[in-house]
Amino acid sequence: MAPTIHLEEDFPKGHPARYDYDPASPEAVEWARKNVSPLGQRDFPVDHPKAADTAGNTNALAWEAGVDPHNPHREPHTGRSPAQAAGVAAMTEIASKAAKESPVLQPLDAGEVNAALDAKRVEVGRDLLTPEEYSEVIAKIHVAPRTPETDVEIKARIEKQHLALGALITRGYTRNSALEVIAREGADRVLGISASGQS
Amino acid sequence: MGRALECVAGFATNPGATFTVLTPSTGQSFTVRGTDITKGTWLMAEWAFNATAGELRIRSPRLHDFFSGIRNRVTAASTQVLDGDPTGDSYAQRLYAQDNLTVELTGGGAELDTAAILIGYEDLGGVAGRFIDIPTLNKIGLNKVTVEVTVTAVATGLFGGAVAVNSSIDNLIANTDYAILGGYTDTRGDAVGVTGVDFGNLRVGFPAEPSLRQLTSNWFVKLADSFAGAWIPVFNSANKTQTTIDVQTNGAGGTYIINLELVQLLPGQVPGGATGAAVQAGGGGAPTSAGQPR
Repeated sequence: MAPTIHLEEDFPKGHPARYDYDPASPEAVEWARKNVSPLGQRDFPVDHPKAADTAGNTNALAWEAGVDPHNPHREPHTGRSPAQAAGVAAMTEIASKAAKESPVLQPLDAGEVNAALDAKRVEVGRDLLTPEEYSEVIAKIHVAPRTPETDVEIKARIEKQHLALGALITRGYTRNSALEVIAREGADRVLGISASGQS
Repeated sequence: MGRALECVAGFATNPGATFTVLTPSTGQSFTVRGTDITKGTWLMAEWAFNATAGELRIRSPRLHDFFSGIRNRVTAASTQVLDGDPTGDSYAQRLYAQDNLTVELTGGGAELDTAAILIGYEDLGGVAGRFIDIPTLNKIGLNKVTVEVTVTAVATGLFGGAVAVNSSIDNLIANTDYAILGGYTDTRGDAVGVTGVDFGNLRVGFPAEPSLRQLTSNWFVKLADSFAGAWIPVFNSANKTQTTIDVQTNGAGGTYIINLELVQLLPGQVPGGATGAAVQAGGGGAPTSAGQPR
């Protein structure tokens, strides 16, 4: 087998230092295009996909969340075609009109309810209770009074707490320390002390 | 301690340039719950979903001022957190029991615009949910699991389309506690709500924004971290049929795929839970040790 002869050239065609350099040759023009930067150092080489002077570069694409900039006609986040998106929107409109508002639930104490639900589970011998069984247990809890105070009494007490808070802050307490004092001493006592000017 | 977390959402109809008081979802109110101002109550986050850019304003004489208060620009078609951002150490505005917050929106002249606030109660008398903090999660956490449901929202600006957490995929282990880290939505809306007896029948929630997945995926963990407390909700799978997910959005309604990111917990570690002792004592074969190597 004959050895492969590799001819190593000193400079590529078009290079100014090459023995047959012709500034007007296509090779020389191409070499100059790729290697001469009259405006200074480039960030990316000529023809790099991100170079500003590369035709078709993607530097101006906006990368919005959920949007494929190469397929901006597709629906954001789902990638559905316009026809698919229109179909889904039509179906969704029908479904949304038929959908029901969420039921209103009365707040409660999870510990209290879970204990009652567990008792019910023992009673029926099942872990999963039916909606009716849930309702029965929760209804029993809801009929019990949640607080001994009436709404008017609560409002009056809170108003007094705000007065006490204002009085203590005026006397130099921080808000947090003032609230601690009110919680510990009660608003009545704080207001009594404040009114008499004692510290 | 009656700890609770509540996402209250509302809507304004054709507000245009006029600050319009939000109509809260049915059964909800922008009046702060509670009967004692000394109990810590916090405005933990607020967000809005407008089709047209507007302003969200929250004010009260009990807060800084009743003139402008907390007012932020709402950019169009992007449900962004506008205050109390839980992604970093944030500052929670203190709220006061029975204070009637004035929550207003401006926006488009021919649309429903929507907003939501998240209120944290450290001790809400007579109401209590089950919540854990991050050290507890790391100590008793076992395995991650996801529940995925499809919610069809109503087009009235109210919470709607409630479905049980097991309505699509019923893979939760019986009688087992699960912590909710956060969740995802595939469609933009205002708020995703999760309701159940384990949360005191109040609705915990997060923004329904599909492009903020890194924020919502562990929303409650971020809240617990940022506000240094037990704000990660826990429910027991014994209550799965009564633990529901719903969505509140604008007049467009929509179909939402919601993923909740859960962590299975060691049984019997979070107080106030169902034991499910009736049939499967011991928590459905859950391991007896847990924790992350940290």
